[in-house]
This record gives sequence, C-alpha cells and structure tokens, in this order.
Amino acid sequence: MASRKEYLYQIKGTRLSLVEKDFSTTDGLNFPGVDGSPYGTAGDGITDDIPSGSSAYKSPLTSITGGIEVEYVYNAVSSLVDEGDAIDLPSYLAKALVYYVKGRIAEDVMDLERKEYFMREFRKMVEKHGNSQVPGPRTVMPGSHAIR
Amino acid sequence: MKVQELMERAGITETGRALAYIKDGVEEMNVISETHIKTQRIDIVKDQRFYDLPDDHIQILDIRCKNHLNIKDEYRSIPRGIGNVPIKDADGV
Repeated sequence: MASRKEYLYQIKGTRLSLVEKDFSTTDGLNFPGVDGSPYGTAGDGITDDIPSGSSAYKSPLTSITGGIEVEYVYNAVSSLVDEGDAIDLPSYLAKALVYYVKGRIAEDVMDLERKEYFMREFRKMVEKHGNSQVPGPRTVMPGSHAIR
Repeated sequence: MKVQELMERAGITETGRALAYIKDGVEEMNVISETHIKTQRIDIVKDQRFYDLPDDHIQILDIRCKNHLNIKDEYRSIPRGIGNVPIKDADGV
C-alpha cells in the first residue's frame, strides 16, 4: 500500500521546487485521524494529538514515476509558419483574433483610438466565449486545506 | 480559420507580421480565458528538489502530487510554500 505524503511547491525562476514533509523524524507534525498517519487516530491519547514541534521539509524522500501532475495553459500556435496553416481555435475565437490583429495594426500607425476599440472588442468576445462554456448551476469546490 | 483568411479579414498583407500578431493574440487569449489546457506528468526523483516546467507553458493552473494527503494513489493539489525552506537541497540539482 502506498504511504501518505505531504508536499509543498515553490516556483524558482523557470523551475519547480518540490519539498516533502519528513515524517520519519520526531520533528514532523502529527496528523491524527488522517489516512496513513503513523501517529494513530484522533483522540487516542494526549501526546498523539499534540503537534510535536517544528516541521521538516526536505527534498523528496522517495522516487515516484509520474508523481507530479502539472496542469497548465500552453502556447498553441508555436507551429504556425505559413499562410495555409490552420489556426487551432473555435470559429468564434478566430473572429476575436481578427480584432486583435486589427488592433495591433492600428497601434503600429499610432491610431490609438482605433486600437482601443479593436482591443475592447477582442476582450469582449473572448470573455463572452469563456462565459458560454459554463451552463447550469455552479458549485464551489472545497479547497485542499478545507476543514475535514 | 486559416492564416490567409484571417489576413484578408484584417487587411494585412505581410505574412511574417500577421503570424507574429496571431501568436501574440492567441497567447493573450490564453491568459484571459485559458483556451488551451493540458496536463503533464513529471517523475519525482529521490533527493531532487528542482524540476523543469514544460517549455510551452504560459500559465500554471494547478500542481498535484500522487499520494499527497492520501494513500489511495490519488493526485491532489499541493499548496505553494512561502518563504525559504530551511533544509538545504542535498544534491543541488
């Protein structure tokens, strides 16, 4: 059975810094009642329910294949090189892109009023498209550190 | 829509400039509305603290780790640490 772990991340420049809480030493915090806690269950004694001191975060203690999952927005047009290439966008967003290009052209000739108009239209269409993707009632998901 | 059609609609004739603006526009769109999203898995290596983020990323939406606060092999979001980690990286990689 896999063991419970606790990680933190930081972004350092273009790299991800990953640290793991070391439970093997006595300076890790107790987490009674949590799956896989080495410190027993909640309410089973006074000492187990009291945090034992400062936490110790270290570089990952074990190797895990595919252990980090990064969800990110990616640059979708790096492969565009020719007039005949198709832009990988829904048709509505492609129309918004026309406004963007028009806005940049207007900016080049310092027609700032036209530029502002086209950029406003661009943002309006992008936001409208975003809102059109979420039908029905919405539920706020509890955060990873919500009260259990 | 093809690049040529967009150029005609926008009234631009220089292909290079049009491609540059299209790339900027799609990037801007991604930042505003997150239109292109994907996930990538990276191996955790014992004692290695630093990992390269994907080259084509524009914005990080979530970072999850296997077995974080669970023993069911689930991937759960991990929090971002603030401040410096007092224990120095062992291998410095």
